[in-house]
Amino acid sequence: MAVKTERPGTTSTAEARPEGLLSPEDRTRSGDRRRVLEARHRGRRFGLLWLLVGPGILVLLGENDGPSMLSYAASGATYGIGFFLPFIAVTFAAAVVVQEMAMRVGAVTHRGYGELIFQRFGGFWGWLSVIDLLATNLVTLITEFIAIRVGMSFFGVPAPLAVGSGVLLVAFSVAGGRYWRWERIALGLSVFNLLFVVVAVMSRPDPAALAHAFATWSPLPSGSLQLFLLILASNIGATVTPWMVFFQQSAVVDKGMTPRDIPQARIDTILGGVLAAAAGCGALVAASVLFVHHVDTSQLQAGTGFAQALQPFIGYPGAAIFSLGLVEAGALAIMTISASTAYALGEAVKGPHSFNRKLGDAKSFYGFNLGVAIVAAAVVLIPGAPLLSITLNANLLAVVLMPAALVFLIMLANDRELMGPRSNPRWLNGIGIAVAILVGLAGSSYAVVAFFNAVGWHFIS
Amino acid sequence: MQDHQQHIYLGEPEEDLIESLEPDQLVIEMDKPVSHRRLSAYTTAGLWALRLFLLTITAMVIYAFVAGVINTPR
Repeated sequence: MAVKTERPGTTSTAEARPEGLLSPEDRTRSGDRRRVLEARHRGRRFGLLWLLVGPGILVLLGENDGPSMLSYAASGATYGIGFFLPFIAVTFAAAVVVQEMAMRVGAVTHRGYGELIFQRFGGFWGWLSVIDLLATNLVTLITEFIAIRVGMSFFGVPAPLAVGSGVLLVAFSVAGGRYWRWERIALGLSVFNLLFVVVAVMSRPDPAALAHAFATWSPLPSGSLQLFLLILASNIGATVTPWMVFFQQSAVVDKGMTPRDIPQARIDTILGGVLAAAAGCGALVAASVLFVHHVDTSQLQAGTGFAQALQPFIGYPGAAIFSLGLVEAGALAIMTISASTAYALGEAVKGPHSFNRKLGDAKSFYGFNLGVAIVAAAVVLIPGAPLLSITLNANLLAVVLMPAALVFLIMLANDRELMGPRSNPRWLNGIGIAVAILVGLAGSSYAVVAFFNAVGWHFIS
Repeated sequence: MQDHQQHIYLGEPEEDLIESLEPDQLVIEMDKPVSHRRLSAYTTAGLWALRLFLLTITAMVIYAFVAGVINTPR
């Protein structure tokens, strides 16, 4: 990292290595890094990749969370596979571009996104970013517990047990005092996101129709403009959100990745994007059966959900797999989103922010991690809570607040003092700015239409 | 910051473990803040404009959300 630290007389050269100041966090991280160096030294390409994958796959499959999968399913059930199938693929391509920037900034600076905003731009912008994150994360976490509750209800599991098991999962995953352990638990869980591809295959889609949709983006959606904008913005919010930027950058730092790891980290991010796009498209394709059979989908996200609606068309096994997929989507997301909250708060208050710390050494970090999950779980169990409305609006809040996160990320990735020769090339800035504008337009378009409809000025519906 | 650094132990380092990390990856180095960047007036104005725009849009979304909750039959 080229940037100067605020302490005079310190540099980042090997000569300045502060021997004798090795913390337990350093020891844990260096043990994992030693395996990376050995794999690289011995030319084990796949071994090296295995050691370095994680943050990219986790962030992109983690964003295939409860409300995201329900948004994709709602897209398929409402409009079929025409426009939204290629649209989902494009939004994941945009997500990969954004996440690559976050990964690169983390690998070069060894600092989390929130930490860099605080230090580089000051506490005012730092706290605004963290408050944005807290608001979107809390709402999104609530929807993850809703997804777990709805998914498990298909198997007759009572709500308190379903929600409680989600909290226990978070507690179990953070208990090891090692980033590697947390990451591998989450990666193991993330594999099951591909259950949605299995359900899509079980729905027996027409390959020619899929190819036609990708080639022509048609048939185009028709009907209510507000509904179309809601689903459009929800799909964008299902792929590009503030927590992803916070999470991947901090996870890259916690994992101990360096600029030499950037090629493997890019593969990790692209692989995550491809897998997540496949699962997202799978949910849309599976639910498009409902569109074909003209099933009313307006209330499907409440209570009974998509699984029961799909059962007559894809059978009990297909519906059960869809429900299990929802449970997985929620479970992985509560781990990653809780982690992003804890990383951000730890960085904001200059406290510990690493899974490589023991529990007693980082009480606030693990407390934030588990505490935000417990608060979200408690909301889901409140009798009469507007769970359907929260689910529908969770992604929207993320879309609305995403442009601010993107602008700061682009500024950091272009900061030559921080990034040196690894700062953004011009073409990447063009794509990044285009993504920020499109996300902003999608969020604001929905907000304007929904607001005027809510105040009774139905100039468009 | 002081609480954050309480975990640092003084003592003999395990050289091979240290060698696995880049110098600026050690916790003691990562704890040092990077220098503050002075934003130009145009950049600050742009960030403020974006923030006000997002607050307006957020308020509209929240209003629509609350209105939707109130109007949704239980």
